[in-house]
Amino acid sequence: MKEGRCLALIGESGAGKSITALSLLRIVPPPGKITGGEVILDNRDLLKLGKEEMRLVRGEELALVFQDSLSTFNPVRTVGGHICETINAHRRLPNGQAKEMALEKMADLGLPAGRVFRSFPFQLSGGMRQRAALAMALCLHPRILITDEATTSLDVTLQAQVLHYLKKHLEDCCMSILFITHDLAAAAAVADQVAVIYAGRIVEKGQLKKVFKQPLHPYTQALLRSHPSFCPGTLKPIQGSPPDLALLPEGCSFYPRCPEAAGICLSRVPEMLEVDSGRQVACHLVKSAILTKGEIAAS
Amino acid sequence: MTFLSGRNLGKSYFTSKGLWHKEEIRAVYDVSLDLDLENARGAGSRSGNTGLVGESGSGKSTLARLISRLEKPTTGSLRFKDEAIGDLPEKMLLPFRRQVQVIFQDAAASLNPRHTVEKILSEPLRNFFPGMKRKERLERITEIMGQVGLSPDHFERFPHEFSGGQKRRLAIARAVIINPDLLICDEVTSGLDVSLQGQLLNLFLELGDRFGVHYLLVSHDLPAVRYLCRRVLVMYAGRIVEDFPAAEMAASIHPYTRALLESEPSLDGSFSPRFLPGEPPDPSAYPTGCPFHPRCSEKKAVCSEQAPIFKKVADNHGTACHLT
Repeated sequence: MKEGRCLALIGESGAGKSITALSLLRIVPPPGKITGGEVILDNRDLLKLGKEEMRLVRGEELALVFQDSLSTFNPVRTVGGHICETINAHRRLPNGQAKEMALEKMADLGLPAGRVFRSFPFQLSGGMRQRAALAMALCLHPRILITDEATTSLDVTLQAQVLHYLKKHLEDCCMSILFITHDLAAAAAVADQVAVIYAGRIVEKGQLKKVFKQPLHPYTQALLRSHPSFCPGTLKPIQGSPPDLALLPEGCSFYPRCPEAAGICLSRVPEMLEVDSGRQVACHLVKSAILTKGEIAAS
Repeated sequence: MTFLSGRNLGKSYFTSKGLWHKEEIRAVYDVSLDLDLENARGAGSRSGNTGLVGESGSGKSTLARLISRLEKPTTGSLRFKDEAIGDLPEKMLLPFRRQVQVIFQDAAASLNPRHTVEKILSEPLRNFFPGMKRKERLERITEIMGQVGLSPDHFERFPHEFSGGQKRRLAIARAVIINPDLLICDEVTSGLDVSLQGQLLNLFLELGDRFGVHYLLVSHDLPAVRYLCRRVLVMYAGRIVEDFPAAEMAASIHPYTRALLESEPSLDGSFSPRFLPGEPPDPSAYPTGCPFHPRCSEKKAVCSEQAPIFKKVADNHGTACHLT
């Protein structure tokens, strides 16, 4: 992820989008465990940090907003209380300054700050509550904001509101956003980079405009063909359902649903291949297509 | 003969506020609509399909429950093929129920967890075709399961053995097995993955072509409505504010409809930060005059004083707005 940019992570449910977010923050619920790899933030491996150091990273540098804003908040405490608690957990501020920060952030997000500060979560409408959750995540000016399906359950008008404020923050605060969603249209509205995840692996990555205009991986192509906004005429949705992660097929995990699967797809897992600058695809077919193109050019 | 028509339909709920005071929540009020299916026959596969859109709390679901007679309207009249059904007792509604079926958003919750697929699917047949023999029923069930894309071998399974998408297919199968004319779908595609959503929308089209089922799609998903429907009804604060053909989205007049269309994220990444300010109104205290005027950018003096009347502006286009 680059500074000041928004990366959209898209995929079906069960593809591993949320677990990716939770792993970045090291809050994967047991029995889940991070078994390998590294999370590098400014040359620091977050997986090697101690408990207390990690606590400081959460909220201060990485913040997360969940889909269900009602369960984000404790129902017997006010919204203001939540936001002040977040601030006080990280900074020692003189009396009242935390409240000022919270009010300021809420006003930034277009909320009637005074009223929302005193309200209990259930007294707010869905759109306001989601923005209050956003205020809580943004109150310490994190470097990276992760939104896990934050706009999915909202109406179009409220979704537009939240997307607008996200975009505004992206421009004003030099923050990065990891925008996790299965809504392709919402992703297209805010993100400039996109990563498509299938069965726990990223299968295509690149600039959003290029990927949506000319998807290379058969899964991305099929995903775009399933959406009425991207596919004029009759939809051609992907058949079947995502694989059971406990019984992943050998080889490429998409081959049972892939219309173009060939012999090699059944036996070997495709590795990530850089096609263009910043554009990566994990597919045997794309690889062989490029190789033949190269051979023709060479001859 | 109109298939289903409502005149000045209204539904209010009462909540008690304190010991003596009651508060009226007007979920739907003064809604008149006609669903004409006869003219739609033979006029292409999507004609006769109507979309009902609006924000949450605008009364879409309540209206769907009213016209499917799951709730009795508080005011107004509901007619099914020229017969008033607004007040009929449940027993007399059998012919209506045979032609108008409903699917709910939460398919899993609408299937009895202790019933097998066979039992779930044979119940509507037993209800509406009491003379049918078991063998005939089984044949029909096998046929319908194949048509909605479920394996007919899964007869003996229980709902929990199916995935989310399959449960929805099962709920659809149960609704279309008696061959209804109108299927009311309450947010059936919301909260689903794109791939599943696409599969369901195509299944709806296919069933429409094969059985002549028409749909009333209650949804806040504009692309889905545009894909499946020819006519769109827009609801705001318990009223229908615009009724227009889906192909002419650009010709919409009401400022709320336009705001709704503009709120939709654009696909090329050039998302314009135009969105509707404010919150939907509180159904226990609608603003005077036009309920949309506090959020409307083009309001005039008359908007806060008088409620606009629903007017036709073209043959198949009507709106309730003072600006027209």
